[in-house]
Amino acid sequence: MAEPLLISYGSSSYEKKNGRDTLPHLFDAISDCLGRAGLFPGDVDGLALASFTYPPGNVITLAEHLDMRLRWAEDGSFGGASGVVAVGRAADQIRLGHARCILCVAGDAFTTGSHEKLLEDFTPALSEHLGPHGFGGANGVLAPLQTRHAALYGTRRDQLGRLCVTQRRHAMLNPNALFQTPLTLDEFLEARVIAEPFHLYDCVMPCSGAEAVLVVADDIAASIGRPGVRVVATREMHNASPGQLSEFSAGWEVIGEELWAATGRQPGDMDFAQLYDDYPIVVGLQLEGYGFCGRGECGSYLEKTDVSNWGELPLNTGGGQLSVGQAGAGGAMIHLVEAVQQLQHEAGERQVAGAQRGLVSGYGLVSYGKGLCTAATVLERLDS
Amino acid sequence: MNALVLQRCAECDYVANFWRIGCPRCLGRLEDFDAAGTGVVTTFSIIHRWVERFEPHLPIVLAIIELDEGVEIMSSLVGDDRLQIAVGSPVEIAPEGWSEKPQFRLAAAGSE
Ligand SMILES: [Zn+2]
Repeated sequence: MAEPLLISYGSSSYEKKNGRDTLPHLFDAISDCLGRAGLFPGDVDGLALASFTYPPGNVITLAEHLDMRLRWAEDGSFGGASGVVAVGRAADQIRLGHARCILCVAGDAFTTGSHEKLLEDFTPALSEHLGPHGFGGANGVLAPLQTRHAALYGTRRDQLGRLCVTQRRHAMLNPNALFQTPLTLDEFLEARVIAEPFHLYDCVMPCSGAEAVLVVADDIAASIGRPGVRVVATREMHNASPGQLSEFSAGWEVIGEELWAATGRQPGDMDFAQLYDDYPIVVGLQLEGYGFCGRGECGSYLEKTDVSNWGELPLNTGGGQLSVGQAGAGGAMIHLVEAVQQLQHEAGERQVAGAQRGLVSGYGLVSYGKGLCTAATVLERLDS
Repeated sequence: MNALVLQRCAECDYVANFWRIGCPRCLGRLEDFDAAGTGVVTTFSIIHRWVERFEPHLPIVLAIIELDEGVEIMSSLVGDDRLQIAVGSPVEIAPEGWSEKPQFRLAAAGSE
């Protein structure tokens, strides 16, 4: 049975809104990713795409556009979980022998107004039932998680803000990040309020960009000669709490326990974690859900733990969406790109020394009162 | 006039928190009924920035409300005192609001 290996990664140059269109960004990320591996579109036999702004184009028309002949394809409709879902399923397809060289790409381009329009109509339940309330987009839907966490566990903004401050340090070592100046905890705390308890720097900045990773069969990887990254185990869960709104978890505990059992690893074995970061509280909830700290303890964990690339748990080592920018569905792939880069030891000044393995998560499709999709994967450098 | 209409399953009494085409539990037929319109705030956010047409209504208090019928819905609060909201606040349907959807207000102290 072929073993799937992540072998390359690529990004387009991020831009603020009103820049280039979606297709040029997708092309640049694909070109960067394939070029790093010395491959061309004709070598690709599997393609996964996630994009909100590329429709009416889809994964097959993208293949048509780039003359790719496909044996497997997937349109990812899992919001911020689409990237991890794509890589997990691509790895399975390679194990099954259905495809051998699968490109996973995600990205979007927004203009002024188009991002808010997307959010208002993001899902049928949102547009029908929350739209008339002026619900504030994803900010308004997810801010209540933090309100409730604070009420139950005393979690404070100055605890969660430390994560944003640290991620900004990482971003300043990432040339593709749109935020390149330091963020102090005071600036985080005093920024203008958006959707209480979220202030400006709790929220991602929508932007334009794309990200890609390449998963290939091990014999192809050997011929390319780049360090291989194993997709050790991946799990996904959708609509984890049917009909319930005030559950904190999107299934993180369940898929986390399965991942640790399947890999024989524990949270403490991870050299880094790339946790989906639309808001710091969502990272905090995942720290709890995946077992890096106890239930209700993410505030004190972030207060006490050095989560920089030189600390105890390097977290969102490229700056994450919070400091690079959220390129729509590209935000679902950015943590995978960073993880592969780290495990191939190509992250330059922000390299986590000797990184051998890490956890990467996705979360998204914000709908009626919660995000619906979640996924996580454990990646490991082949020579470890 | 605000009224909170929910759906209940004619077969198994499932109550839907937002409109469904049929009963998710038994696939039976859902029938509209008038909810009591009272509940407790589970959590909330206070929205200060959103698309232009909602600017007259800012700040908008968006809340998850556990209704007396046992289901959780999302709605918004009206009333000059709405910023006094807290986790656990009792709320009731507001006689009038600015949304096309039913809105709530903080229940008057001692009215329980
Ligand atoms: Zn029923």
